[in-house]
Amino acid sequence: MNECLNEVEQALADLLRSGLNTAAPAAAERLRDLAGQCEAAGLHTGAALLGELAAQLAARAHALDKDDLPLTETLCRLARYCELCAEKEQEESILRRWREQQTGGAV
Amino acid sequence: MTIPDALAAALAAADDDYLTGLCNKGTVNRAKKDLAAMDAPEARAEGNEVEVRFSGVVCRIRAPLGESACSCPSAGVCRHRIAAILWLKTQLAPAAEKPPAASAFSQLRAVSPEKLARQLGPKRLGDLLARRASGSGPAIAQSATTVTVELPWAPATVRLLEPLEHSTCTCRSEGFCVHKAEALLAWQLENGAADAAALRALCPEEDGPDPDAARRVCAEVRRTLTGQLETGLSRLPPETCETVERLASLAHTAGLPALERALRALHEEYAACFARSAAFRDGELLRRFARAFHLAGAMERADAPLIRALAGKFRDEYLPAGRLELYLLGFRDVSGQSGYSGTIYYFWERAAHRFYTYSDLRPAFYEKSARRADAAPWGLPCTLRQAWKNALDLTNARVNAVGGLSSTAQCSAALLGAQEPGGVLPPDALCTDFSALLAERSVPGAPETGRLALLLPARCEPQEFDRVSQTFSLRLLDGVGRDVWVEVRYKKEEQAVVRTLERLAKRLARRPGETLVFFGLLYRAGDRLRLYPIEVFTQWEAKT
Repeated sequence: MNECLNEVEQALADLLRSGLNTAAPAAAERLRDLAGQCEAAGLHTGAALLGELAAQLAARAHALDKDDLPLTETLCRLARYCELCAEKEQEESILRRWREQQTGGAV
Repeated sequence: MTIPDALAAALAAADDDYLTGLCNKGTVNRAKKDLAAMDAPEARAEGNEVEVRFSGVVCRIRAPLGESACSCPSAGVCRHRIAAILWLKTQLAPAAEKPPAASAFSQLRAVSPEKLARQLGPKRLGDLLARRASGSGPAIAQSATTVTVELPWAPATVRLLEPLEHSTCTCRSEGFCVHKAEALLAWQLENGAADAAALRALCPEEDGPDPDAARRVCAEVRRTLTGQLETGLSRLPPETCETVERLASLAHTAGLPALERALRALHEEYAACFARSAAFRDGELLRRFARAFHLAGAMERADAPLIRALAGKFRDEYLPAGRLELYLLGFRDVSGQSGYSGTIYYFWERAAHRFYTYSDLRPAFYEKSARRADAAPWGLPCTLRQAWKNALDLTNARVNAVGGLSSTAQCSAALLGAQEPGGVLPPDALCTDFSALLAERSVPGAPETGRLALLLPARCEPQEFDRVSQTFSLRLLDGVGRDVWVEVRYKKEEQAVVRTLERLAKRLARRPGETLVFFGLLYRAGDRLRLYPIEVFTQWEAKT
């Protein structure tokens, strides 16, 4: 799950770096792939948001009057979602580590 | 002479406390001396009053006694009037002279608490309720006829009498001053005549930001950030920093401090990016960008009360906390990226068993090289650094919502001397089971006082100094093998901390079973719970 979250965050950071105006069509495709990975990892809300973002990004390429406010909204919601999930995952990973240590696993 | 019935009743009810309430103790004592020395006065009843002549003055004593008059030039209740009242009390028929029954103070109860709250205003009312909640409210003494309320923070002493208009205050105000209102409300709260929760609800909230102006600024923020996302970081000009700074100023002007902080945080990350700083991270920029956009969106859609809730506060409000019994556990020097540097002191409160902090921070920008004197707040006879491991009692302390102590001049400290921490802190203050720390003491974004902990590990395992990341590590384990990592990365500011920990590691190698207590700040990083050390106690003798 952690890897999935990192990848989503990296994809969003790449989008922020490249900008919507120059985002390659591959960006929407990448988001769709990540949506599938999220779904498989049990991150259903993340998958839905990624799907929505990918659709908005694809639709933008064909729009004459571009209104990017909803797209930015979705991107920011997704970034916030990733942040909260990462916090939760971190807590879980510490607990997991402690459990492993108690059962004699590796440190 | 026959004393009119109403006056006789008032005279019978007036004890020394009541007379003191009408004027003051000195005047009553003087009147008693005068009465003992003077010849019998001439007196005659006229309607509802009695005229008493003695020592060249004429007093007209009537009920209520506070409305009595005297021919002397005194504006208040003078010694002549009190002497005349005392003399008239001796003239009462034995039946009328029975000791006064305890007053129900029906007139004091009848005053509307809402009216008193309005007179006090939200600030004074909030302070009164906070003082009461912290157990440091006014001292209230009640006799059969008088309620004496001491307001040490004013400072003022109010004597509440019936009728209420004859109540007196040491501020010498003739009218119904704020001290009288505060004293009466405190008495009503104490006696169940007023409800604290209802009064708190009555407190009008501070004027929030203008909703329309706030929405305009939020819309502008969202538009601008969307524009930046369209262009992309790689094509944005360095002037973007100034644009975000301008938005932060707009948020400040519109009374939106939370949005202002979010934008300033974003500005910091943009600045790091354009300065090609090694500390810059794409992910961090994304998080800050999302937080600012998200907050602006939430406020743009919100109604006025929600905008006020989301807007945040410009500065912490320090509320009265009364008397605090503190123990200075440790301190640390900070020179933060926030632009402030100085020392943070950490206290343990002996009564409530919780942590408090005192921050002595200054903007580093203005005082880069100047050596600053150590803090010595609250009239302490020494600096706080010198008071380490000392107990001190604070009077009239003020505390903010996250346990930060104010340096207000109204607060005074009494130093109680050095004590060993084991003798001050109860055994249950030490955490021996680390599982509780994760959920309760290491929540990301929680204030410092919520992340402080005292750890008593079952064993400590010093690690090799990591030469690549230049990090010193020490693994602390509880009884069942859960670990917390003490980690400090070597840098100039942390030199002393790393050296102390290295000495500690050598000591542990010599005496592996030694009992150590670690006091520090918990945080999460990776899959480890970590502790930034503030103090390590090598000798901890538990309180018996």
